[in-house]
Amino acid sequence: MTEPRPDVATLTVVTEDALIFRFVQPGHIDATARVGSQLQTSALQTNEFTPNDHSYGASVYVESELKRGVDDLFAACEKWKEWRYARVPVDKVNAIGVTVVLSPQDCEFDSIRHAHASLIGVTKPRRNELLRLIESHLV
Amino acid sequence: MTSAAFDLYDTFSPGVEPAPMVARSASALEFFVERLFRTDRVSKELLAKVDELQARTGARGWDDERGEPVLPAQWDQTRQLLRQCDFAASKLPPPFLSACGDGSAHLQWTTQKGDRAAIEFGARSITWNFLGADGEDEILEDLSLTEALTKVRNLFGVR
Repeated sequence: MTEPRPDVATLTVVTEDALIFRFVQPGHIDATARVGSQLQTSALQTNEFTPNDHSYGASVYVESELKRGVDDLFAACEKWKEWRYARVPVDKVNAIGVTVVLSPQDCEFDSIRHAHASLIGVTKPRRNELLRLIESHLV
Repeated sequence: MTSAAFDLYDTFSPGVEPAPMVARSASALEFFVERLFRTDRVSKELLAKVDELQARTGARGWDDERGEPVLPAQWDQTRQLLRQCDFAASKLPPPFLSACGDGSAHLQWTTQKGDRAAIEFGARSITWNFLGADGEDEILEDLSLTEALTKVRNLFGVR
């Protein structure tokens, strides 16, 4: 029997001093576009995608919860080595109006589940700002 | 008139210099044929990309992030818009095509200046999403296909 998912309002909020990793698929980057405009709108779900019974929102990972940082993520999922990732301060995400909450329920990898978090409150106007923020922090 | 066109003309009227009107008509015909094939090339590439994206995004979790499937209706709207763009004739640059985990299909253009504009075909509506290089933005929901295309044409100053 599947365990009921907690309400999003009850999930633990990630503190402002934390750093998060956000992976970006190659198909969401237009390398021919001017720098600052390369990350596509499709890289983030918006409020059309409300938290539901199988997802709270876009996935991120909290760096301080990972012993070896991003290497723990690569060890959990080989495919991510082919993707780009951004290392973003949570206070900058919060400044846009987006909250980061821990959501191990949405992670399929046992070894990094405890570090999984979701971006809550990504409306279309906020998404535009968030895309710029993520692109500017791509590693 | 090109040599190919002249050779064709010469087959039917050997040794006779083509009248100016005939030469002009042949040039015009060549221009339209050439334009037709250029349009085909751009559209074919984009439509092939749509087919590829549709094949990859039909099931929940296609993005490895529990994403919603992008329904065939959204891809059909994308195809419809691409066919209306007439890229070669309008000088409209081709968009970057992608899919979003919220179940929408995206066409995005970026100007030389760094303005970014996207048309999103969502399950419920068509959205225009503009983010200017200077930070200004415009988000319009529930557009028709024609209204969305007009926004793109206006952005690039083409008819």
